[in-house]
Amino acid sequence: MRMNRVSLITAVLLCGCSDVIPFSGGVLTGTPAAAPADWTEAARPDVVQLETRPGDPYSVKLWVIGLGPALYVHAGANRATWVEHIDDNPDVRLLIGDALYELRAIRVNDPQEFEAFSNAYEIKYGRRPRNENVAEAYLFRLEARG
Amino acid sequence: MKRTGEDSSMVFRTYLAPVGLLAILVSLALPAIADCDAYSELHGKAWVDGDCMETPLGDRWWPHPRWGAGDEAGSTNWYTQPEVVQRALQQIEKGRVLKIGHGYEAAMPLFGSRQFTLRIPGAPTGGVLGENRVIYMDEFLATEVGQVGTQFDGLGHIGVAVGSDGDKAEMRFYNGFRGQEMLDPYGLKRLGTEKLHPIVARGVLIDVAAARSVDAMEAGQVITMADVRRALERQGMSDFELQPGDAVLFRTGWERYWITDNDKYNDGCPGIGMEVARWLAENEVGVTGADNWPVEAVPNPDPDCAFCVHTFLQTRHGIVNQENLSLATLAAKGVYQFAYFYTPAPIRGATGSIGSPTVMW
Repeated sequence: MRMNRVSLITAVLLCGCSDVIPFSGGVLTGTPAAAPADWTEAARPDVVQLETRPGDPYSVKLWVIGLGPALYVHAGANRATWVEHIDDNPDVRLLIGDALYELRAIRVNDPQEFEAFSNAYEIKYGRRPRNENVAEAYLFRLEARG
Repeated sequence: MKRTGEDSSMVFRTYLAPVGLLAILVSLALPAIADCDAYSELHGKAWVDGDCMETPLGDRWWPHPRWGAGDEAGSTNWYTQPEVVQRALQQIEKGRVLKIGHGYEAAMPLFGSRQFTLRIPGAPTGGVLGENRVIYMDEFLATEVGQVGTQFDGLGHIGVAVGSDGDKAEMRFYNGFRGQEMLDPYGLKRLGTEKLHPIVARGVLIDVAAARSVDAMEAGQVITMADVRRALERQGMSDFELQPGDAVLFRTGWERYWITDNDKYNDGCPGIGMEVARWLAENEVGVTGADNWPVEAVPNPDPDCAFCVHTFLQTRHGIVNQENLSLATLAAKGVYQFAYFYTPAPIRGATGSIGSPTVMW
């Protein structure tokens, strides 16, 4: 029984150090990569990491959609911390696998573009993003910096 | 050789103090080990605390470590703290309001043999009065008023029979209150909903059904921490940090069977298990809720667990619970953080409350 307790305490301590909620990291590291002309293949993973606030890097995990030359990340109607950072400075970095892309985030307000994003999202994740109104959704298109 | 005072002190610090400390620790551990042995068949179960179950509900759970002996308000005490209320109000940016409860009607699914019967006596009930010929209507409602429809579990709803069946002295509730001091046919003498504070919480919706890409999870499916992480990543909230007093609402998709298939709605449901319950308790949330009738998965994968999430969150930790929510509209709007408002009906001695939980963002 004492061994069980030791094992339990060890497990709890180890679990406390693992990737638990919340996940908010700092600077991302990877191999610098140029933005591809078509993101469809590069953005195939379900989850990527986005870094915002270049002066004091802050990173989160997000779902991602690659649709030809466009790459999208989405926060529903939620003004998340990373959304606030993009409002202040649209320069972001995106880590997919080991590839690290330097990009700029542009808020999407066009219903047709939102519809195309939603269709691609449904194909990739099995359900449409749950937003009725693009004006209230925080959808960002990520593009190569100027 | 004669020892100096300094030598003696060093010997005490080096040898005797650790031995004494060890002896104290062993003496403290022995009763717990003895208690564990009485319930050794339960070791390893997810709803048992560590590898030890001192009793089905032992006195380590009272007085409540934060709210103290005699407290009857549990997690609603958070809403007496201005910083918790202000955190909630900071979620309101767009001035939008939404009710997240169902309407009450006889056709809604009811647990067990509960009833909901509304009548308007006389129809009109009274009048005609005066030269202005006024008439009026009242309603007569016969129901388990705290436990039907969209409802809220107060802290007198769930207890644990620690002793033999029928032994009210050993029926224990939140903060150690005993059945014999609180149970009364005319209303609970302790832990009634009138003791609870109005809730003004920062709310978060965790849309597990969407993260699993299903319309609805299956009955008995347990929401795991992996589900929570995936849902938060999907919602752009992997950096979300629970704060004390938060209201955490889980969407399973189960409300699609509300009235459309009451038998299925009542015959089990998906929900949280002990893994998520422990995460909620460790973070001292104020309210739990879901779009189904118990919030937790039924049946639990462990047949020995009968609503063990209830007894863990409510009876042990004093965290109140909101059931039968309607979350589809909120999810469809992509609103995952909001201010959550609810005031339990202050019916003296009631176990729970109907009402209209409301969110703003």
